Amino acid sequence: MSADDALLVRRCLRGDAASIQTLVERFQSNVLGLCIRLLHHRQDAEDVTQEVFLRVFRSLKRWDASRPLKPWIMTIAVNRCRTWLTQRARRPELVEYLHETAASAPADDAAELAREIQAALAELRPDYRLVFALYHEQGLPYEDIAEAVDKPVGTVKTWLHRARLEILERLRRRGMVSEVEHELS
Amino acid sequence: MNCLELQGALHDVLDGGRFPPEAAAHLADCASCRELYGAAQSLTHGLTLLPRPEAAPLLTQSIVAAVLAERRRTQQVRRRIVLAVALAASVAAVLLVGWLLQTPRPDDKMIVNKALPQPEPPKLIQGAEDARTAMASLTERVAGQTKEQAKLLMSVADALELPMTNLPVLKVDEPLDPAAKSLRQATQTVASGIEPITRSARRAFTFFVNEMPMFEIPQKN
Ligand SMILES: [Zn+2]
Repeated sequence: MSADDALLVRRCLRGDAASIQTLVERFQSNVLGLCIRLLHHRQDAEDVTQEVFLRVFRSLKRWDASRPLKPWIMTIAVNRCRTWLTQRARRPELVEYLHETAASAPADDAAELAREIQAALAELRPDYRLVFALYHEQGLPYEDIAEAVDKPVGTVKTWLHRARLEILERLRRRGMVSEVEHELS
Repeated sequence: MNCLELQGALHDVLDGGRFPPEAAAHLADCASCRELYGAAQSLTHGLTLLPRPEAAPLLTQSIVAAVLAERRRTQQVRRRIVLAVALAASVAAVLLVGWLLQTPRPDDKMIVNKALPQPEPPKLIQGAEDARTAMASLTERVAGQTKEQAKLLMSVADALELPMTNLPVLKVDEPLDPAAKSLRQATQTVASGIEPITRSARRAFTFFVNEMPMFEIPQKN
């Protein structure tokens, strides 16, 4: 994967348009997903996703080919989302779209559970939500998350554990608890 | 295992690990932890249900177009910078060549030096000249005043029609009559008036003599 990424990056640096498109397609869902999770707004998330890729290609020369490409791109995405959130905090009239994604889901049990988890995520502290999304949705290991959020691994683990406990507590309050008796025997 | 340890085990499971066997015993006895475990199972399942946002093809095209446009702009700017640097280097090279061609060689420098006017003499000489002139004019003025006073005395003497040849020789110690006293006083006044000037002139002359070795005195052949 890393060798593949390295080859793709080399082609991108030469200005090959097809390779640039391949790189965008390979990572845009991850970036967009994280942006939606952190910004709670599809249009904002798409704008930020575009900004992220512009920055990715601007600084592609500085990417360390010995490291995987995805965490590096996700670090840029985290930073852009944080900047966007800071700017949006100065525009309070734009904050009213927090549950947009959850509200648009269909109303069966699975959708209900997904909606509940998303609502729980939306209520988390931004730092907790960020590490939760990077770990459980983006599949990044603790070390890469620590680098992306610029915190020690211990802090990342603490934030993730607290995030999980808050979500679990909400699910329990809402009665979204699986039966466990026979599974443990 | 207590409730806190079970929470730790729960995180291990959510991290992809296995649930330890002793946790089952605790769950059987602790309703709170049992609920928490059930919620964790719901979370694990629910995470697979979360919608994976798919980027619209339009977004992909928009991103790629923006990246390529920025790349073109960057290349244009880089090309302009290279052009400007090359131009500046050419101008600098032309100026350097021109300067090298105009710089006189060592032989030329000697000729140029000969053609140049002689450097100005040291300013001390000029100052000494000024001082000499000032001293001369001052002395001349005092001498003139003295001469005028002498003329005045002579005219007074003429008016009195004194026989100049038969004038008695005055002895310094002898008491003088009032008229003679005034004449001697006048002489002393003139002498005492001139004295500071003569003293200054002597001092100035000594100074010039001391400073003279600094100047080269042209020798007469
Ligand atoms: Zn317990």
